[in-house]
Amino acid sequence: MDISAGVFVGLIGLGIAAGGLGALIGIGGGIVMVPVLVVGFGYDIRVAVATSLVAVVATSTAAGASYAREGLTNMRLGLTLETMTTVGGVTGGLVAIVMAPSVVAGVFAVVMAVTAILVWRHVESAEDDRLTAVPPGSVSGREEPGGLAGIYLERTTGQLIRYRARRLGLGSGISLVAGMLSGLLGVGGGFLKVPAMTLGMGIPTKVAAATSNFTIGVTAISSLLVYMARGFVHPMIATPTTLGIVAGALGGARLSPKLRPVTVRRVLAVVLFVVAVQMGLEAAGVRSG
Amino acid sequence: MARVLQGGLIAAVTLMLAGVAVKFATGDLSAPSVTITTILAAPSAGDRLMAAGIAVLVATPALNVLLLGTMWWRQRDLRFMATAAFVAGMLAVAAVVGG
Repeated sequence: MDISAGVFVGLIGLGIAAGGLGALIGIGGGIVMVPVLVVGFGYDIRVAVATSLVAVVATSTAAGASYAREGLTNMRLGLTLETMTTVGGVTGGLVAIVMAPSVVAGVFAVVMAVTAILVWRHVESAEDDRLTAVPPGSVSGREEPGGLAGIYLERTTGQLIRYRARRLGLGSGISLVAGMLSGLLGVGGGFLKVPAMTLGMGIPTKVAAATSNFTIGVTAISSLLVYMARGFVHPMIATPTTLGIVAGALGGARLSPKLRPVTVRRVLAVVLFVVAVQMGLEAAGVRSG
Repeated sequence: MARVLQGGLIAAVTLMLAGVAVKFATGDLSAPSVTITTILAAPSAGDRLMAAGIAVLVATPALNVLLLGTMWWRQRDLRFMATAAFVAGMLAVAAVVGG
């Protein structure tokens, strides 16, 4: 396989777009990157998923450092949930490799369409604005040894917030599903993990987002190693997308205060739905355009 | 943990950028695939550098898991040391069963 300089630049641009969107509205790069790599660049879906997983590891690592410094990440909770997520990730990766690419594309089309609807209907709240960027020094926290609990000080309000994880079984079950989707589709799984922690386990949103971000990288490598072992990682494709997504995430974080998230979400929802239809047509073997 | 993540990312990005520079300097735009066992046997120096960067990127979260397990062992927090060990074991399984 050879690629042209134009395609190389295009892959960087794709990474920047995916990273920027992730930083602006919290939707990970994989949901954008995989379908564009398949529909736009014509790559095998397993190569696209492997490429996306490399990029997911990069964004998780980049953001994870920042959250870790703020003390928001509950690593005990994160790794406890990862016991099931990694099982799901390995399983999802193995299933994707033996499954027909058209079936994987069909599953991805359905997930994208659902994501598009959820993104469109997302209710904007002040909490969401705070999620897109945690100003340094605005929070500080720590987890409690020996259990799944923690505490953090929200300096903007002066509130000391204590939490303890509940319904670990529910969280673990959803984490297993998130891991399988990550391995199958090349997404981070945060769109399942964060609600599982906030709504299911009673974890504060900022802690859930930080903890999810930390675990996404571990989840991604559990299935990426499967793809890598089978030769689906092409450094000349993964490198420009990864470099682009890191740059895009940094730029998106700077742009975040200047853009209205609701506008970005609506545009993204339309794009996701259109691409979902394209992926569905590809899966059905119907030539598009 | 933040230093490990940051250091790993910087090292990975540096290797990737070096690999890209070598590929373009030599006019080699081939895009071969690599596996876990062939990272250092990639066709060109540029491919090897990029593959090494990807390997460092993959190793960074895994190293983090090992460091957390070690930290919890030192703190006698054995339940979570075992949790970290399980996760690390699953990552090793992934590398083996995928092949």
